[in-house]
Amino acid sequence: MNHIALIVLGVFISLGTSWFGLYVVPSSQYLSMDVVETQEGFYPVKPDPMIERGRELYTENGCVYCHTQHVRPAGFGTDIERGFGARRTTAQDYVGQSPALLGQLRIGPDLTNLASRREKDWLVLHLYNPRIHSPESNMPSYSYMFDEVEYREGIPAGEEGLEIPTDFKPGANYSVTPTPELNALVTYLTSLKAADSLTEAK
Amino acid sequence: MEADLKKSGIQTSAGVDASSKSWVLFLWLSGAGWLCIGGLLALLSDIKLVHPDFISGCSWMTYGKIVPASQLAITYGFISQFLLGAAVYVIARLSGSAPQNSLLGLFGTVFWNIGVTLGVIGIFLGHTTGQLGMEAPRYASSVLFIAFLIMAVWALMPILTSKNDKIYASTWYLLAAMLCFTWVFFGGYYVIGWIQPEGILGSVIAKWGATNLLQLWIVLGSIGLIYYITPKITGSSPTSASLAALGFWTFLVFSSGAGVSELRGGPFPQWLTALGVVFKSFMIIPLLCIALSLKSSFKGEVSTENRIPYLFSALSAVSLISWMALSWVSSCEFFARYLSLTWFQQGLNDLAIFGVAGSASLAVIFYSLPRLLGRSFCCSGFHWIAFISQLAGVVLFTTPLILGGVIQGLWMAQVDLDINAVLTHLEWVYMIRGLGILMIIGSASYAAFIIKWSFYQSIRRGFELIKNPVKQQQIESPANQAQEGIA
Repeated sequence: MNHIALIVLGVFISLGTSWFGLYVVPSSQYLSMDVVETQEGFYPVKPDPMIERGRELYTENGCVYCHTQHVRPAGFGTDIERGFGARRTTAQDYVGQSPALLGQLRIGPDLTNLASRREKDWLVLHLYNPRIHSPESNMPSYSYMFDEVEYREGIPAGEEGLEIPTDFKPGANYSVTPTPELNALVTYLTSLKAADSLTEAK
Repeated sequence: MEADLKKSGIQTSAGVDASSKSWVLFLWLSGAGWLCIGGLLALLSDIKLVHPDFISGCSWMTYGKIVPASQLAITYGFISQFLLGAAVYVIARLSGSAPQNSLLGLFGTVFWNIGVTLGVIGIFLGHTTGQLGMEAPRYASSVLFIAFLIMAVWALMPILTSKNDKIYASTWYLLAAMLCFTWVFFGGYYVIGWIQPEGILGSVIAKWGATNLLQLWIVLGSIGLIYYITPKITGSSPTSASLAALGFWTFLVFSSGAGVSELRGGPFPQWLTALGVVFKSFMIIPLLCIALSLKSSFKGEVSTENRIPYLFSALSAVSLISWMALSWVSSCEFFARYLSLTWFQQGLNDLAIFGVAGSASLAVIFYSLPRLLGRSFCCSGFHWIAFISQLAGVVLFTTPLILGGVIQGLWMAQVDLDINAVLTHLEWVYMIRGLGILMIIGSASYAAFIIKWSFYQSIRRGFELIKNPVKQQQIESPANQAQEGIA
């Protein structure tokens, strides 16, 4: 019986210590973090509801399983050389985010500074069918976030929808338009930009 | 002899087995069912990486939903139930007593399966927590926690009520593994699901929870099973009790903080990841202690009927040592630079789940089934196919991801190589993995088949017993069972 008490105590102490050390101790430091002033303005900017909705969609669809949102420091990987960001990311970049969508596997490129690399129109087409812009991409199509409506009489094809290359159209007489959800997701993606001048990261 | 045991309060092996049988078999059967579901989802996710437009018009079938759903089904549905079933059997046998009826345990298991189902459906509906490794929605994690508490209390009851004062090494591991699960699951999901901290704090606690569930529940419990099954089969004890004890305590202490070393390179304070690396470095101590103490228990005569459980146990031990050694090596700064954000870590996790825990559970299943069901199998030749299938499955499912992760890391270090091109050249990883998961499903399905077949036989024997009670009692007498070598 003494052994049992010892094991119970051992488990409680070892896990309790690590939980205390990794959660309770740093929480006072992290939870007091707030927006800071940088050369670009206050950072991070409080997201509007459209961006928040896009962020929710990003989380629900599990985009984090392929895309990271953190730039590793110089000398640890080649993130900065690849142009994923001008500096490494720090805890300040994730203030106000719950959950912080850091990711742990890089199947697709890092998205920390996506807004500096891609335009909105490019992203809309890329989400409709990634092979339009990147023939080698293994990203799935998110065509279910688009309305594919059969061409109505009297309106020329493509006039009210996206301009999609013929090979990728669902049919000659179809018009493709993004849903409000897709617009929210793209708004979120185009908001992804880490402030370059954050002194903490220097 | 039996009368002496009754006086001392210790049940006979047959009595212990009879009390825990239905619960143990139910845990294994539902575990095998979840392996089929989780395995097929894993296969589907692999197919989607090679053919990205495969079932892409469906909002609940995105790659990002299939992967966590598959991981949840495998972690909580499959391996946790396989481990728990084996643990219930081992604890009852070692304590010499089992709960008088296993209704509460069965109730907990049904509740647990409801929790896993809610978790998988919740992820498909987009209710994930978004924290990697701990994605179960709040309603599912609450059900899982309560269900585990019920099952753990019932499983550990024999230790608390046992008149047998001797505590074996396997009992330490299994007891600690169940306590750790309760602690880590509560500590992790309470913070993630209810407090929902902002910023990187949630990521730290998710990593702490996910790695500790793997190390201190799945792996720790599996070590307990190996410590039980191997000496039982070979008749040789581990080298020394003090070495086993040192391995146990150092594994428990250093594992609890080692997981955060995987956060290196991320936006975390350096002291935090450095602490994780220090803990990980000390994991060399349990690695050596466990390897040395297990080495001698594998030496010894193995009877023909125990050869398959022995091989499963050996596969589990080899996977364990490989997993510990690779985890330790990958924590070195030089390797971590290349292996960070690659498939390598996922490959190691799969090795722990399928190689270490899956094989250890199958060793106990194949060893205990004749004892639980009271007869040996007519089709035991097929057991070989099950073992070869498991061996090939573990190698084919985990090695490509580990090797692929190394290649991915080396290629990603070359700035001029496009990320899409790197992955296109590594499509073979997913093709081989797909074959591997099918073989693992085959092995566990075979175990499930013989459980079902034996159930059918038990029902048939029940009818025969009603028809001819005297003849049947003679067949089932302890003397006859001892002759068959299944007592």
